[in-house]
Amino acid sequence: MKYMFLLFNAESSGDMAEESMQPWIKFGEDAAKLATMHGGEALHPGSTATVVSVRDGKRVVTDGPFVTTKEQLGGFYVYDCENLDTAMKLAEMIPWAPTGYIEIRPVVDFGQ
Amino acid sequence: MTTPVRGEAEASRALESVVAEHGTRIVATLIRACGGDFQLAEDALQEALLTALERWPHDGVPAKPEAWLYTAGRRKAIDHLRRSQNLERKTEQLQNLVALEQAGEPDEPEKELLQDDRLRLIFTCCHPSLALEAQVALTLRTVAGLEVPEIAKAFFVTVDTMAKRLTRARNKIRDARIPYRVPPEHELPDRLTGVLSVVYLVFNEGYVGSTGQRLVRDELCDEALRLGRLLTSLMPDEPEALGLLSLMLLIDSRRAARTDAHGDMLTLEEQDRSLWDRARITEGAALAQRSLRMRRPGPYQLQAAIAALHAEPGRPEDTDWLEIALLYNELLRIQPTAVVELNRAAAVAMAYGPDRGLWLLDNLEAQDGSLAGYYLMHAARADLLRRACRFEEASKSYRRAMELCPNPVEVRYLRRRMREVGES
Repeated sequence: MKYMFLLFNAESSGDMAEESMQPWIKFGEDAAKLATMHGGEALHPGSTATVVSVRDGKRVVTDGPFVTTKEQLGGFYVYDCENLDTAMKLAEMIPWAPTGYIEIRPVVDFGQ
Repeated sequence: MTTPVRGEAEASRALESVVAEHGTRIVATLIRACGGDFQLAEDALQEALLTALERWPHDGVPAKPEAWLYTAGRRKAIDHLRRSQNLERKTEQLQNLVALEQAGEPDEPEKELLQDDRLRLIFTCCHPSLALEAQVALTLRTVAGLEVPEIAKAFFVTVDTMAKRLTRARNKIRDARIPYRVPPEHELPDRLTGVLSVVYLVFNEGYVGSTGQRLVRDELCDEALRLGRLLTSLMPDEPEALGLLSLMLLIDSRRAARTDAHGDMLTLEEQDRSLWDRARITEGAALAQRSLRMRRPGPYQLQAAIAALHAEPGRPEDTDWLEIALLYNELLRIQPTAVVELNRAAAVAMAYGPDRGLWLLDNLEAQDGSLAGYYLMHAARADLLRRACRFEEASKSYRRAMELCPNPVEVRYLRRRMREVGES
């Protein structure tokens, strides 16, 4: 079953592009022993975000991010894990877990 | 072979007793057969029960009614999956169920397997990814077999709200794929702590009832005791499970003595000890001993040992406060919480005099300012001031505790105390 891991952290410590890659490479290697990766990216900080919606047929554009909390979405992974326990174990290993939050969301399987 | 019965009344009585005795086992095994899908198993079992009510009055009660219900439930689950439009995961589940059906799984699966199923059920209901209120609701519904309206009533929510809470939890188990299993060895201590705290929460909700007008709600205490017994029978080598059962038995032994004729709360000192349930005390104290002999002390075992020291003496003045204060020291070491601190201060005050206890409370409040908003802090201080004969200050603390206390029954107790020290 595929799970998406949403990585949240305080903005100040949250720019993944600036971080040392070492812990992330190590995570990738350890995670590969538990589950299969199906993608993942690091994101530029929330200050670069743009929010688009359409109301009454008109496009509305605002400066982002959509959710303005202290913790911001800084990246994501998708892994195929056996079950939620495995996914939780994997989340625990993500380098941001000790300072931020990892939200695990099961991905809908349309059964292709 | 069947036992002929006449009429629906007899059949429904037979059904009721099977469900009471074997309900948890049947549902636990059915959930496994359904690949961990609680909702499917639950729906299938409800349909199997309806079929039993139709058929048993004519066909007689089967010789092994629990096996009959399990098999019927499994077939209902297969029907369900075949009818369902939702293809997601359906195939895998269906294959599993059909395989079981064809293998003709023995009517009486191995005893060990059944025990595993019930443990799987408990651990899955108490999975940490479910909200605590959902864990409690699911445990009461699925492990204890309480009906949805009963649970709704116990937690003062509408039947609809409770039904939705349960459905959301079952859907999460299925959609997020919470595994139906006993956690592996290295996760067990943590997960067991979670299970025990759900059971203790049910007990406390019954005993203290933070929102109820009545102090004790018997049915929740009874369910918690039943769950505690189930856990110790399934995990006899877990000292904390024994400790929790012991603690609940010892607290529960005072159920009849805890309130006066008006439903007002009585302290340990004031209670009529002849109303204490001696059988519960004996059993609880023996369990506390047994758990501590396993030499893996934990918070429930220590609280049980303290409760035993309160329960055993015939007169309040014979209570061994020195020993209780020592046990609180030990408890504080492994569970450094405000409640334990407050209880320790009270025990120290009884052992060494109120001034010593007040000194501890002062230190505590200086360390943690948030305690000023906690009613038990003020109630504890009021009690020690009263014992030190500083009545005016005691009255003030009782008043502050009353203002902060959420439980009407405890508020009445605090008001009575405040009158005793002379309202200022």
